[in-house]
Amino acid sequence: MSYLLNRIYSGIIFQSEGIIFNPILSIIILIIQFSFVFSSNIAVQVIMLAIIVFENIIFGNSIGAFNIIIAIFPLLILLGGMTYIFSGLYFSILTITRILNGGLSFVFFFSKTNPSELTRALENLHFPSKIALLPSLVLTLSPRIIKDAEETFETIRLRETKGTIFKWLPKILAIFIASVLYRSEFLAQALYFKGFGLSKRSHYKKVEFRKENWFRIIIWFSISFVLIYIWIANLFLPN
Amino acid sequence: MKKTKSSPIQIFFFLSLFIGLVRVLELENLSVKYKTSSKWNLKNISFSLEKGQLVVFAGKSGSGKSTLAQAILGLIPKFIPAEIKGKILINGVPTENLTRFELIRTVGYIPQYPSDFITNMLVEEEIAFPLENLSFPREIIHERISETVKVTEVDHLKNRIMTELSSGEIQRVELCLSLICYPKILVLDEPMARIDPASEIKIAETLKKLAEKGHLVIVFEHRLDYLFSLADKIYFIENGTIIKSGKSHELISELTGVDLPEIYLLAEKLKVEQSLEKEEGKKELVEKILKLKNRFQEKKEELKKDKHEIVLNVEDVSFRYNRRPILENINFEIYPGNIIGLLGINGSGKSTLLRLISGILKPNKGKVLLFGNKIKGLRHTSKYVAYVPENAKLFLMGPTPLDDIKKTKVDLDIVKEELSKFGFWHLISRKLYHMSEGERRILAIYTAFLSDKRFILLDEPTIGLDEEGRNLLYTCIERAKKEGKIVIIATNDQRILPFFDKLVVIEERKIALKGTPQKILYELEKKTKLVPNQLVRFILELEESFKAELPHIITVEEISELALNGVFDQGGN
Repeated sequence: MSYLLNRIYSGIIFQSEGIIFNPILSIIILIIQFSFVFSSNIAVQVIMLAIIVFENIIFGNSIGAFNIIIAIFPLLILLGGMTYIFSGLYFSILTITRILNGGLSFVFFFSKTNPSELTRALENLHFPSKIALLPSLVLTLSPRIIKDAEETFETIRLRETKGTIFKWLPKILAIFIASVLYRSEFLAQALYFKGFGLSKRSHYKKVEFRKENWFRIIIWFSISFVLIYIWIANLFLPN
Repeated sequence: MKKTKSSPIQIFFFLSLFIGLVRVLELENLSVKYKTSSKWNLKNISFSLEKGQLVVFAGKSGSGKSTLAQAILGLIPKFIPAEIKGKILINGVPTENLTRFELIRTVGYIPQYPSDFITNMLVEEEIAFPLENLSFPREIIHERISETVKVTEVDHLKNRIMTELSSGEIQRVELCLSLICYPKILVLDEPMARIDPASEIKIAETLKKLAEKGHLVIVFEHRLDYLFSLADKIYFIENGTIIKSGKSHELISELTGVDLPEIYLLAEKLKVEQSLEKEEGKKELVEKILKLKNRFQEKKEELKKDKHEIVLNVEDVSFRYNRRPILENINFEIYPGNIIGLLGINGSGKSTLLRLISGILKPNKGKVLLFGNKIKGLRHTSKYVAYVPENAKLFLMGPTPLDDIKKTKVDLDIVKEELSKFGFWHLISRKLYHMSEGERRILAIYTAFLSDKRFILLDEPTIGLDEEGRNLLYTCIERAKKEGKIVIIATNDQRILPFFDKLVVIEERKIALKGTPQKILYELEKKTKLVPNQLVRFILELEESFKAELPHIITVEEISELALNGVFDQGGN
């Protein structure tokens, strides 16, 4: 478990030293990716997967993508196996590619989006600061919560090795939840003391639009047309 | 021209204005009672502090230091439900009448757990966050960031991810953050708890400089090694009441339960009559130490033992985390009954090494052998290892410490006797979240030592511990040594070093030094970027200025034991 949590953490942690994408564009592309995840067309899923993997590799997130594949591997085996048994190979492949597409696009978004830049970008679009900060806090705190969970799990597993998962998992969850709630109190104090919500925020950095963003726009908007075409064409195909 | 006489009202007005300008913080009969508590946690606290002062509030763990800090900041009762009596005035204005904007611009705060105050991913953005919230122009934010990162020496951390910093590094970033709004008052809750001595010196000096620039710096701390001589005034809190206050030198013999600077204690034990600030005082001290030189025996280097006796072997271990190398080619071995200390600056990889030994992490290269077998993960190590992480509350699983202690099957009467002796028995049935950090930590450590595990691994065990907590820890270590247990401690606190048989110093991902505490501490500054404790630095300084060969003592106790054996009684001093 701690190994999986560690992989998830390594997958979703923001990579400050690599290429960072415009957060609004990243959100739009993430929405596009997730809308195609719902398609039942296997060709759509496979093309998407190829592009997402390609994107992760060329923009330097291959290790993050690899980590998340390792982390969700048991899930892929479990769900893929079950759908194979109950619905056959086609649906099994569809399930696996859907999970991979969802997981990898999510990881790319997490590791290539600067949370503070996301807040600034949303504020530039006239979102109230309190709402604009929420996605940023999710991006900032998710890796921390995973790291917390990992530490809780490791420490407690080192103490309690006897018994089945049903014996120690509830204990770990109870301690973990108590720890998260305890921390949330401090987060509220921190936001209070850092003056959040007092006035209209200023921005000490501009939200940049780097040239790599154009590459993603071209790729994803053109691929969207192709995928929509395949999807629609498939709807009219005789059974 | 007719000379106008000021009316008494005008005089009173100007006088209050003047006092208001000078007195930045005033407390009048402040009492605080938490909603969860049956007694008053703070009782009738009154004082007034002026700008340009460095003031230290010292006291044992659980004495009410953090409660007082939180009350001054208004966090009590805003976030922590409590009943409050009395007044808190900042610049003459009651805190309840201050707007949040005024409060933030006036008071900077570093909490006891700085890692819980992280709200941004990158260090630079975390520092800029309050100024963005207060609508500062971009140019000013840039100016202030570049200025404060230099003052607090966190320039090199600017582009790092907050969650990947060590706790000491986070402490320094939070200090930078608290200064970014140029507050008149700076409140720091245990700022020295997680940092290495070199950073401790830097932070203490930075705080003094800030006070000299006109800030009122208030520190709540029981580690006074460097702050003691720099503080303008010290208040001593016990059971929620200020029982003593005054200048440092007036209080040296009166403060109990806090970590006082060892050089002052040494002078006191050796009955040095003159001040150590003066050359005569130093000379007197050197003469007295030289009298004891022949009696002093340095701890010998451990004799080479039979290789078959090795219980833990770290062989050529390297580890990377998130693509960043943390440790490289680490080698050392441990024999039964060894007490090992891992020393290194914040972020040097000490905690990582403990986690590798515990089986939580796996090395990327090399291996860790436990009783000659390669560690295969938690299932393997859990039979032998008890590991108390820096976040010690994770170690205790029951709602109260008693639930955990009962699982160890140790006779409860023995536990009662031992914990009562050090004043911790009353906490045994208290819920973990209703204790101070130090109380939680010492009870977690105590429970770990009660277990039947052969290896006890402790990560920064002295954070938040007062003198009684330390004494209980030392008792546990000594007992473990007698029982042949192996204790490995990652620490920045050099007061614990005399208890170690061997020290392993990690610097720049590698082992820089290995050996006995005496040998290591007296070579530390020459061979590494680390700084030894205040006492060792002082002895080295005396050796150089008086060209004398002094015994390499590392604790006051070593020399005071010799002194008690009658040297000065016979010598007439």
